[in-house]
Order: sequence, then structure tokens, then C-alpha cells
Amino acid sequence: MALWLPLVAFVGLCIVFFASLEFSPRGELPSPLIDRPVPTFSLPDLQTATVRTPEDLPEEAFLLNVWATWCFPCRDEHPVLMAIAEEGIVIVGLNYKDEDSKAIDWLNSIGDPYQLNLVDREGDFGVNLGVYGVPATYLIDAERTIRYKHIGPISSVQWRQKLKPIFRSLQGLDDHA
Amino acid sequence: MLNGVIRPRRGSQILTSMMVLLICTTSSGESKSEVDLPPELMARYEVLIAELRCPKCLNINIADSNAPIATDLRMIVKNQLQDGKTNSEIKGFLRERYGDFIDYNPPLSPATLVLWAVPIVLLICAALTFTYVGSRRDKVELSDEEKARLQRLKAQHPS
Repeated sequence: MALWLPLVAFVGLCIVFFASLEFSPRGELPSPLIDRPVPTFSLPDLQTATVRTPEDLPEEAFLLNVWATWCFPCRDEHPVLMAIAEEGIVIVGLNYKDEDSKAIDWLNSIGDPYQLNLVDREGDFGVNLGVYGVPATYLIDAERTIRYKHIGPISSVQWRQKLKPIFRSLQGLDDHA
Repeated sequence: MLNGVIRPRRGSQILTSMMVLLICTTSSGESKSEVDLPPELMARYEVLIAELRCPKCLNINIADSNAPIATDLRMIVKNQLQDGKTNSEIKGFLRERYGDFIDYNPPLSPATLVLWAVPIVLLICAALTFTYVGSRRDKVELSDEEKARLQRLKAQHPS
């Protein structure tokens, strides 16, 4: 029995390593901000330059989408955000380490899915949100508590199958309602 | 004759300094040039950025990563050091935002318990295995016939 032990241990380790190769989400960190309130901020509005605070956030469940014109995957995500906005869902943008003029041009030329766009030019608020890559999207409930973080661009399949059901539950609605 | 003694030493000194230079330029040349701190803060800065993991790049510290977020986090470390924050306050600030992942020296918590326990458990398993194998070996009893054969063999092959 003792002779078999190293072999058993070896095979066990192989299974663990292969499983972790297969199942560990690559480059996705669990956020410690889940179930915590949106960190406080005072940031300019992209369109009007008015200073916005958490008080100006929607009083219903919404998406907070971190984006930038220099972010290549954001362009892939943009049509999906447009479709989500079409569904009547509120999206707040956080224009991250970008230039205002470029951001406004982007929205004017390919469409603006955001109800409100905040400007985080230095990325300070991004750090408070635990942003480390763009795009990232937070699902936030009516009490302004962060409920879910999606890292990377949202595909329409991910929206339909994963994010929308979570968002509907934040709205207090069933997915089929 | 004196030259003969000195020359190889000088050669090795040059080689050593070249190697040291090479290490400096590859590992933290960038992070050193971008900050200007008094020596005692600089020393803590170097330690902190070596212990903090880049959240973007899975397995590299923020000292060696040139991802934009690593640059931002180095700036945060620098600014907080200048503000007089302690090392644990700075790490706490980043852990609150990026989780324990950010720290290459994670605290003992339910999530990291396995990490800390596995080596101890393996050590106990190894110890148990050794004592089990050892005790089985001690228990070997020879029958009378075997004892007699052992004696015969010993007599035939004196050591």
C-alpha cells in the first residue's frame, strides 16, 4: 500500500493541476467591493463638466461601465451597450484615463448608450473601484451597492445568459417578467 | 608578478559590476527613475512594490510590470509613503480595492487557510507514512524454519 502512495499522490497532483488549468478564470480577480457601496467620488460630467457626486447616480439599478477610446475591446462592446440601453436599462459611463474631446467624438459618431458619463482622467476613482483593466462593468442596485463585477467586454451572449438575469434580480424582477 | 595577481581580480571586478548593472537595468530601472524619495522611504518603496502583485498580469509584482495599472499603483505607494502612511496601511488600502490577490504575502484567512495548511498536512502524512512503514518492518517475525535457514546462510557467508 505504501508503495502505491507516491503514484497516487502524483496522479492526484496531475488531476489538481489539469483542473486548475481548465477552471481557473484567467485574469479575473474576485472584487472585494462586492456588496459594498459605490465609493464616494466627485468627478466632472463628460458632457457638461458639472461636478457629480454619488447623489447624482440613478435611484434605480444600473450598470456602471468603465470605458475609454484607447481601449480596443470597448469598441466591440459598444454595440452591446447600445442594445442594453435600448432595453431601457440605465448605464452610467466612467470615461477612464481618456481625453474628453476624443470621448465626446466617440459618443457623437457611434452613439451614446450612457445616461451619465463621469470623467476619471487620472484613474484615481478607478483604483477605488478596483479597476485594473478596461472595459469593466459593475452591476449596482437602487441602494447604490455594487452587486457584481464583470471584467472585459460584455458580449451579447454573456449579457443574455449571465448578466441580465443578475440585473433583473437587482431590479426585483424575474427574468421573464 | 604583482601584475599577474592584480589583473584577474580587476577583470572579475569589471565583470561583476557589469552583471550588477545588467540586473539593475532589467529589474527596476524604470521604477527607480520615475520616483524621487528620500533614502529611507525609497527603501520601503522598493520593498512594497516588490511585495505587491500586479492585478492585471497574474504573476508579476508591480515593480517589474509595465502595465498601466502597475504604474498607477506605484504612484499610489509613493504618494502614500510621502503622506506618512505605514506599510500595512498602504497594503490595507490596496487590499480593500483589489483583494488579497494584490499581496504576495497574504494574511491567514479562511480563503488562504488551505494554502497555509497544505504543507503542514503533507508533512504529517509523510511522518505517518514513515512510521507506518517503519513499524511494519520491525514486526517481521521469522518462523523457526526461517530462523534455522538464516543461521545456515550466516554460517555459509561469514561477513
